[in-house]
Amino acid sequence: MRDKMQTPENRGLIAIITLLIMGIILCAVLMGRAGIEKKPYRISVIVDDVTGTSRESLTAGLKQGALEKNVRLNYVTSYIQGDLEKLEDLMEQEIDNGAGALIVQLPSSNETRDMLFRISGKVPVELIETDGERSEEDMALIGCIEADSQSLGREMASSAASLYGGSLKGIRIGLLAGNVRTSALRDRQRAFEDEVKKLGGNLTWTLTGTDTLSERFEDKMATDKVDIIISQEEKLTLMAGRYKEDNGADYKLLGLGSSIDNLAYLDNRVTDMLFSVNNYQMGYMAVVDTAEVLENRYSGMKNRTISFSKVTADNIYSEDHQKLLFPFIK
Amino acid sequence: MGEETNKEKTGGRSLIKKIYSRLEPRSIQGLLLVSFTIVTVLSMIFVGTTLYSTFRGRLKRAYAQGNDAIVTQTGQKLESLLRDMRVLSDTLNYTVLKNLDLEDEKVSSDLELLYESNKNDVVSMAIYSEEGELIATSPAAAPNPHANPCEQDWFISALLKPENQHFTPPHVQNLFAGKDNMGRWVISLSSASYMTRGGRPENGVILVDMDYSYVEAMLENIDAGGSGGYFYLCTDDGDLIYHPRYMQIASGLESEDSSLAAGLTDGIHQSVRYGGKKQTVIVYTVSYTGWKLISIVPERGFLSESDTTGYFLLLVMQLTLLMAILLNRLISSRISSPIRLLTASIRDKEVSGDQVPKVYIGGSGEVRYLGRTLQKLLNQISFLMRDIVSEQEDKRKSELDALQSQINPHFLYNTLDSIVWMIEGGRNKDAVFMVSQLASLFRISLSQGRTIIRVEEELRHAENYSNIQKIRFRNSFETIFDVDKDVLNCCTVKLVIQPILENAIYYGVKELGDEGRIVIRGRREGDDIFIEVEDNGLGMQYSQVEQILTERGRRHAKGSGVGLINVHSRIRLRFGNEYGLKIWSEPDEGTKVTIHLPYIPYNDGNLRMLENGKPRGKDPAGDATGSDE
Repeated sequence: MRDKMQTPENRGLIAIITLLIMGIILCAVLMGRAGIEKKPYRISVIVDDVTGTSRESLTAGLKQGALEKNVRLNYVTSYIQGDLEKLEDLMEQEIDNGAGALIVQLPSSNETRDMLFRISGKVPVELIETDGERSEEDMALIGCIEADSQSLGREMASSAASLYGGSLKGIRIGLLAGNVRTSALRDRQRAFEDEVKKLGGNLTWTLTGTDTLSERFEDKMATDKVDIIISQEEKLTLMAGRYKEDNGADYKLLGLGSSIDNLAYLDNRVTDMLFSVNNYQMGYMAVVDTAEVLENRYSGMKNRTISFSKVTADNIYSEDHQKLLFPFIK
Repeated sequence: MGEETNKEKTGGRSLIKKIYSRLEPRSIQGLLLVSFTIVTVLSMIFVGTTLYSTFRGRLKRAYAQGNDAIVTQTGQKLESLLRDMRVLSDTLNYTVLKNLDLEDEKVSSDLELLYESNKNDVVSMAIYSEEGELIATSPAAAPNPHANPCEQDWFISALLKPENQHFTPPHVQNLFAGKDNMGRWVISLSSASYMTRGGRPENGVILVDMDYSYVEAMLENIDAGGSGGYFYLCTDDGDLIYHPRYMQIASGLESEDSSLAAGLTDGIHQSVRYGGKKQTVIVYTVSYTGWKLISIVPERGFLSESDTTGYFLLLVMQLTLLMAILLNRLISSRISSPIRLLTASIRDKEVSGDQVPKVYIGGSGEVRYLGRTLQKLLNQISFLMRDIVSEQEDKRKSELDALQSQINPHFLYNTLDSIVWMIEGGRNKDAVFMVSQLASLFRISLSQGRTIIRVEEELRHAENYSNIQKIRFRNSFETIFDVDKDVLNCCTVKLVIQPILENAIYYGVKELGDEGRIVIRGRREGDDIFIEVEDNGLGMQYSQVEQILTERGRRHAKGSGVGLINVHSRIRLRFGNEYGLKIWSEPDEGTKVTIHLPYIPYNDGNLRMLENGKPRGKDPAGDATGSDE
């Protein structure tokens, strides 16, 4: 019997049969695995006021991305007022609760290296709206999606100048810079100020930060009136618009904004110009990129730049703008 | 160049041959297994491919037709929806506005009534004057001071073509003030109206806004049926109205070649190069608006995108192949088993005279026949081997006897004695004669060890013997040689005539005194030669004649000691059984012994053939007559 098995023909036959059996088992296993419904990936979204009306486009994009990539999102509103320690605690909490990745809006870009190093060692992190300090080693596990802040800053300045015939000489300019601890707003401010100088202007005042900004603004308006206010943040634009409407002020107002409230002010000619970042795209790509890394750890997180549009009362309802500004939310 | 190409071709062919010779099955079972498996696999591939293409084609058509039905049904639903809007607009126009004056409060209440009964899908209904003034609206809302209806397409087209109703693609409505009225997506239907205000007729425009989310929900619920396809709605220019990935397209993340699709006629268009892939495009034109409801079905998607389907197909193929191999192995084993048993029963077995291997006889009829025939063959071989051994034994015995008789001491002693006697008696001449005859006799007897000599030599040998015996027996008999010349140069076994002559002398003529006579004749008859030794001696009884050529006749006689049976056997062993001795005898009359030999001329070739033991007619090199070399 043993001699029979040793013949080349029988050896070849045994080899073929063995290969086939292994192939059958492999296919059965793969079928079983493919048939098992894949558990959705869990991604936590830690963004300031994530469920607010100003975030509708962002959340619409996040939801669409989650739908396509089989992701379960958990929204966490971070009322942390710039406290990175509290942010880290929040992130650790989400990781402990099972989050496979995090989408985070940093309240500050300063001194984030260590924190991001620690967190990205556990899960991939997608930063939105602003980048933070991070080391070269973290590049693969930390991505950033933000608008081109320098272009935005320059555009704000040149758009302001266009309201005055192309020059800002002699114009009193107030800048609501917002949370300049973030690199996005810092870059925006720097670019804006440089462009203003080029256009012959000078800033009358600049208000930064978030604490007590509303009161400081009102004080400024009472003591140091300006011809034009430029706002770098959505909330600050809204604040300035509200103030203008309520108090009958006559300054021109340009600012970042795409919420329905800001659009209403624009439509009512309270606000003169809005710069709208494509938040839907930001939210969608944040989820898609993160999910891709969860599917394949070797693919690495990506950095992306999001486009922005200049919206006026005349073009708010143009075909392109209405899609961008009034996203159809399912 | 040509040589190199030829070398390459030869090298390639020899490599293929080498590979083939290594892979080629060595056994019948292997050959059967490989053949069956190849046939099975090829059949599977052929059938599988045919079925797959047929199935795929049919599935593709089925999906296309299914989607076409869905598209048609959805298009009809959309048309119905739009028709409802038109009916609503017509109701407002022809039932309310035609019969009432705009200043009548009932206009507003009727308008509100109409709105309330349709508010599930209607966002607002409004009446505008020709100048763009908002006359009435439901629900109530203030006009947006910054929006001028007169500049908007719905207004312009309504007044431009008053006979038609005009649908706009979905858009954000901005006609009404207030944040709550902002950002609403609607599909607007506008139509011109002839109204009466304060008793005076005037033109105006009716605007009915339908909630786009209603249309969007209807289109989103279309089930593509697992085909991997999708549906979208666009204008006849290709501007998207609804798309499942609308925001991605608006954000520039994706694109849709809607203009290409919108340019196609209604119906199913297969294998359209769409979006870089071959897809099936189904088009339905929504009536009155000219909008296109498009279905895209990828040609490969529904069959190949499912991992499970792919693994399943692979699993089935491997399983089928495994079963085919096992089954083919079983079948080939069953078929080849009798042949293997047959082979095993004779492999490394020896056939001898005593031992014949038992051949396996079994299996199908052909194999049984083969086995039986093989067994018969082996039995025959064994029998022939026994025969040959026995023959060789006889030959050996006969030749041994003949060898022994080449120098018979008894004869030599007597002859030498006679010679001595002659010398002593002073008969030197006779003595010399005797010696010379004796020398000749022994020279021919020995013949340098040859077994085959010329007939002439054999006759001389017989003559020498006869001469010696005549002297010994004082010429009491005479010997006459009458042999044809033809016969002299033929081949014969040596020591065939002398023993017969000896018998003739001792048993025939010795007692006859001077009247003894022995005649030796030789003649050719065709391919045979006959040498007769006839004497007029005492003769024998028939019963004695019968026994001469048997084993009893082999007893040592006086003289040379080689019996007639020895001569007879040696002739038959050398030339074949049809040759040998024939004896005739009649008491008191004499005896005639006829030596029957084949006519074989004496030459080197024939000599070699006969010395090697190949009898006449069986030499594979040529005919029995031999070839002159």
